[in-house]
This record gives sequence, C-alpha cells and structure tokens, in this order.
Amino acid sequence: MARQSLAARAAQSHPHLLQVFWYRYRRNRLGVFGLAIVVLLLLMGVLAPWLAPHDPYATSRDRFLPPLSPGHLLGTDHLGRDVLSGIIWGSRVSLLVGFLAAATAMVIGIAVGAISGYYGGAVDAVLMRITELFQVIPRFVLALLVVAFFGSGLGKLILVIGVLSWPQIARLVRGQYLSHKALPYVDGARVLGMGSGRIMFSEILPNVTAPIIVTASLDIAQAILLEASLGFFGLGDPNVPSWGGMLNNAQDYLRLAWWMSVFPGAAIALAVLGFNLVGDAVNEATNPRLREG
Amino acid sequence: MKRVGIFVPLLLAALLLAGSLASAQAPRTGGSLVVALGADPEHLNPTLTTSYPAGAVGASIYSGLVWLDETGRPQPELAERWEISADGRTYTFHLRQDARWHDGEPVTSADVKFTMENMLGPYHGRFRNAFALLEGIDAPDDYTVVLRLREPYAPLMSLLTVFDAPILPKHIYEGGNPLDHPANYNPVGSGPFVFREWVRGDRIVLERNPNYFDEPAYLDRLIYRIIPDDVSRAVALEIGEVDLIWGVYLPAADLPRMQANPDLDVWQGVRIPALYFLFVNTREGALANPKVRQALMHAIDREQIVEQAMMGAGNPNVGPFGAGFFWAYDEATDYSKLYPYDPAKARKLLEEAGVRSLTLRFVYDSARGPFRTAGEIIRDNLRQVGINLQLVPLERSVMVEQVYTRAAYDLSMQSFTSAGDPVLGYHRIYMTVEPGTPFVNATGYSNPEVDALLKQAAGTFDFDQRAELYRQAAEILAQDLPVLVLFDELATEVSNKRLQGLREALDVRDRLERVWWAE
Repeated sequence: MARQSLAARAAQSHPHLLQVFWYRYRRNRLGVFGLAIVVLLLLMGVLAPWLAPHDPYATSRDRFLPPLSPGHLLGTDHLGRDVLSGIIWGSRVSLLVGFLAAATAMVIGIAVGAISGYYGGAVDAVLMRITELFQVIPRFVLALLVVAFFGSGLGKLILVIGVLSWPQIARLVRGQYLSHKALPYVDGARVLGMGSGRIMFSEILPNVTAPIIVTASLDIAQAILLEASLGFFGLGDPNVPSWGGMLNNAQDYLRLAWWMSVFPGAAIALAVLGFNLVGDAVNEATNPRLREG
Repeated sequence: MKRVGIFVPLLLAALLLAGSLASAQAPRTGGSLVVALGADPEHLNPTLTTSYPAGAVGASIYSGLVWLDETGRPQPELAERWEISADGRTYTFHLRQDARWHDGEPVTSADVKFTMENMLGPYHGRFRNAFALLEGIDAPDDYTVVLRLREPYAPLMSLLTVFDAPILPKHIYEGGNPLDHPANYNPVGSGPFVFREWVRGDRIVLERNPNYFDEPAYLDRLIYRIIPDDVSRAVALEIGEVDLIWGVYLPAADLPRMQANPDLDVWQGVRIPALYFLFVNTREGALANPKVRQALMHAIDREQIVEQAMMGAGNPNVGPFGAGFFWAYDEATDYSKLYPYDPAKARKLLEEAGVRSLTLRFVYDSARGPFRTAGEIIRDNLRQVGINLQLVPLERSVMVEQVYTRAAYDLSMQSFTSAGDPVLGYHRIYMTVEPGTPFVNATGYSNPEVDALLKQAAGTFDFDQRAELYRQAAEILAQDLPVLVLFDELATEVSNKRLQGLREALDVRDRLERVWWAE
C-alpha cells in the first residue's frame, strides 16, 4: 500500500501509464463485461427520451399486458404504463442517485479522512469516533426514517444516501494518508514550504486515487441498491419513474403480473453487478499485490 | 363479453336454479366458522376502542340496544321497543326481560346506564360525541332506560348498536378501572357467542351461547384466526383454512383471483358508506375559482381510478354526499352526469378562467397505496389539460399537519367513513370549521347557507325532510365544488361458497349468529 499505485501515477503525469492500465484492465473479462453494462446503462439514461417507445407516465386501459404484446415488449403495469419505458427512464434516477450520492460520500469521506490521517493526534481521535458513530448506525433504517419524516424528493434521497455512506471512504483515505505522510515526497513538499492544505489535496490526494476509485464504484452500486430499496418500500420519489418504485407497485401483483417485478429487478441486479465488476477490475489492475506476473 | 350468445340465458337459468335450491334449504345447526383478522384486538372491551378487530369479536360477544339492518334501520336487540318524544329530545327504551349475561346475571337498565356513563361516554371515540349532547340517562325501573338530549340529534339511533354502544355488565366492571380491568381479556357479554379462549397472535375462540335471549346461533363455534400477512391470509382462504375475510383485510389485487375461484363467493356493495375525495385548497390562486375546480372534475377520469386503483371496488356515480345513503342521493347532482370525463371541456373551462400553466401539489398519506395509484392516474389525467401534478406522499402525522393545520397543499386525497349517517361522517367535509381540526373541512370553503342547511339536517328525523335539505345543499355544493368527490367505496367480503346467511346487518361483522353451513 505504501507504493504509489499505477493508475495514480498514470493520472498524475505519465499518460502512457493509462494505456498500461487499460491493457491490464482489458485482460479481466468480467471487468470488461461490467464496464459494458455501465456504459450501456449510461447511454440508456442519457438517450431515454429517444429510446423509450412510450411516455413512462402515460396510463391506459390496457393494463397487465404480458411481455411481447404488440407495442409493449416487456408488457404493461397495473395502470397500463409501458414497463420497458419505465425501465429506460428509471435508469436515470438510479444512475443519478448512484453517482451523486457516491460523490457526496466521496467529498465528505475524503475531507474527513485526509484531515484525520494527515494531522493525527486528537483531531484524528475525535474524527474517527464520529466516523465510527456513523458506521454503526444501520444505514437503511435511518434512511427509511429520514425519508418517512422529511419527504422523499430526489435531492433529499441523494443527500441521505450520501451522508450515510462516507465512513468507509473516510477510513480508507485516513489509512492512505497515515502511510503517505511519512514518505519522502511529502517531506520534500513540506521543506519547499507548501501549506498543509496544498500538501493534503494536491500532493497526497493524486497518489491515493486508485483505491478511492475502487471504493467509489462499489459505493455507486450500494447507493443504487439503497435507492431501490427505499423505492421498494414506497419511499422513493413518486414523481420520477424509478426501478425501486416499479418494484413497489409490483408487490401487489406478484401472482398476477410477474413481469412487473422481474424486469425492474433484473435491471437493478445488472446495474449493481456492473459497478461491482468495474470496481473489482480497477482494483486488480491497479493494486500490485493482486496482480500476478 | 360480446360473444357469449346462448350462454347468458343458460348461465342465468343455472344460477337461478342454484340460487333457489340454496335458499330452499333450511338453516342447519352445527359447524365452525373461521374468520381471518389482520391483527389481534388490543383487548376485548369495545367500549374503549373503535378498532376493527375489537369491534368484530365484540359484536359476537356483546349486544347493543338495537342492531341496524342492511338498509340501516334500527331493529330490536336488548331493547325490544322504544319511543321517541315529539320534540325529539327524549328516547325511552324498554329492555327485554329475558336477557342474561354469560354468567347468568340478568341484563338490566343499570347495566346500560353504567356502561354509557362510565365507559362509552368517557372513552368511546364515536359515542362520546352523542354523550356530549346527553342531558341525562335515567333508569326508572330495571327494564326501562330514558335518554334525555339537550337538542334533537337525528343519528342517535344508529349510534346505539353493538359497535358504537355495546352494553357491558355493571356487576363485573363496577368499582374497577375499566382501562385495565381483567374482564377486558376474559369478557362476559350477553351476545350470541361466549368467549372461550384467546391465544395471542393465533386465534380467538367463541362458542354458541345456548341461553341467548334471541334465537341461538346456528354455528357451534366462531374462530377468529389472526393472520397479519396479506398473502398468507389470502392463501388461507383459498386452501379452505379460513372461511371468511372482510375487505379491509383483503388486498384489492387479489380480488380477480378470488373471483375466478369456484369455491369462493365474492361480494361487493355499499354498506356503511365511505367516500373517497380530494380536498381542494380554495383559499388562494387559481383554485379559488370554482370554474377551475369544475375543470379539474371534468379532467379526472374517476372510472379509471375505480377500475385501476381500487380494482373495481368503488362506485363513481356519486354526488356531494356520495350515493351510499340511497335516501339522500339525488340524481340531479350526480357528478358523473354533471361532470363527465371530458378533457376538451376541461381545457375550455381553464381557458375561460384564464389559467395557462398550473402546478399543483397532491398531498396524501404515504401508507395508503390506492391514494398513490390514484395520484398517478390523476397526474396523467391532468397532464392532458396542461396541469402539472406533483405527488407529495407524507407520513400520516405530517400529512395531518400539512393539510389540516397549515393548509400547505393544493389537492389532498382523503377517505372518510360516514359511520352510518351523513351527519356523523359527511357534514364535517363541508361545514365551516375552526382551522387546525384534523379530519374535517380543510378546504377553507365557508358557505353560511350550506352550514345552515346541514345544521338543520342534523336535527331532522324524517328521512324525506332530511333528504330535501341535502338536495338543496347538494345543489350549491355541486356548483362550488370545494371537494372533488371521486367515488363511494364498495365494501368487499369473500367467503366460502357454502356459507349462508351472511350480511344480514349493515355492518358485515354483525349478526354472525345467523350464518350457517349449507350441505
């Protein structure tokens, strides 16, 4: 862990190392598969208005149409809405929540972890106790409570999930900073007269990005899952189509219309799988200990 | 539906034959009836609670002064007859002299007076309103009870049933604190069934009362099975472990499957009417204009809501007071005739009102699934006329504060039960109220004319005279539309096909002693 990782160096100054990274990543077939899922999901979200065959809000009297019905590839739900269109538009919410919640967690986690690891001592002790406090709170239960009492706008969902997800990153970043702050390049920076802030964020941070990226992609998967779970319990934002919300609707009709639950469920599973595979593959390609030969 | 041809007459003939065979059979004694409940009652003292399971079990253990037949008219139970004074302020009840408690003591007027004064008055959620109007309760002799009212109160009789005024034994409760009395868990009543055992979370068992003052029950045993999970409950009915489920415990989504099951009978109808409606915040903005409210009514497809959000368990042909009280229903103010689904008309009305773009907040209790589904349909309906609907699901207590205290909403979906009389359930929707009271008129609408008509109706006993007052009020309300009435809820009951004699009373939980098993 003390050595600088490849991707970090690649991102920092030597562009050709990115090629090395890609070369290593590509050799991981599952990683490529995961990346393909993520890219396809992103495309689906961005192109939703053009891809979706129907308006996801449009109800009709043609309800519970089974999959492969004319005009409704994946069937219709209890209000006669097109399931495929719901899934396509729903990818937007999942990705948005996934990325923004992970970003929120990232910002808080990096700040707390960097300060904690770099300064050490009493600051570290206090910040780590706070981190532990957040770590032992059952995330899902708290998210459930917050959303139940303060309403469930998309912004609130992102904030709640983000605020509940940062401790892991904080602990990881702290560990990295603890080891990096003793390295010669940090001493060098200090001798050159750089301020603490600059050393923390423009010297050390670029050197520890690889493990952060790995955690981030896992966090995105977690956030997508958490958003879907909240939606499943009817606590998602009802004003945007989402996979979790579709599952919530499907609960009542499990025995009547399996397609209402199977397809959104599969979408969630695929998205979570995709981000997890990417995270693992990045980890493997950048962590020298996991690399063979 | 269109290609049935010859099958319709054949089917009808078969049904008629089956029906006449069933009704020709004489009621048989014997057997057990298993009824599913979604939760344990908190206790079995129905004077302290209005909860559904406590009322259900209590209805078979206890008796009221009267029971309400399926049209809502009072019939003798503990009281064999009664007189109402000309000024409508004195009710004299003559009790049956052969009624006995399950422990053998006679039921007397002292029990009635004690129950009303010590338990129903202070603790019963609905009876306490009537109790506040009582000047006094007299028991001139053992079998006569006189209720003296401060002012005439038309719905009093419908409050004297086993649900709103069950009579409990004075000799058992006297001197103790009713709230934690041991008899709440080991009840002694005077009803058709005697309490036998209660295994919490599993079952409550009652047995036939052989000394019942009226005809003894046909059933040997009445078993209430506690099954909290919706799916398990439905399955228990389908495999025959349970014989009867009431609509409140039945997810609407299961209905089509039950209807297709040849061993089950699915009944739907209006019993104790309940209204589903939207409060409109008429205080400011575009919604202060009645024309905009009329446009909303034309834009909302109530039939689609009933069909998809309620699985058909609703009647959209309703006026300002629904259609459940047939004597108060007036076809002239039926919203499905006045405001049929017509987006073009809605757009025209909005144009006339000068409304171009409008965003409305639709506030509802997040625990109510059908409200959300209805909201999704209304959102789509209103989009067709250029109105943007924002769904705002809120936890119940937050919803109450936002809607009733702060009036921070544009449209709010609610459902109110009539509790058996429009005076009890529906007047509150339209009458002028102090702001901040939960579950009353939240619209800000205040019309002295409507207030006066409804106040007069509350003191009018004659159904025809009362209907005329409602007709006049409905005429005003149907134009002003402070409340968008969507539909009447239909009660649902699913039972084993061999069960006979169900639903003799207004409340489906009542009169299970009349139920019997056909061969």
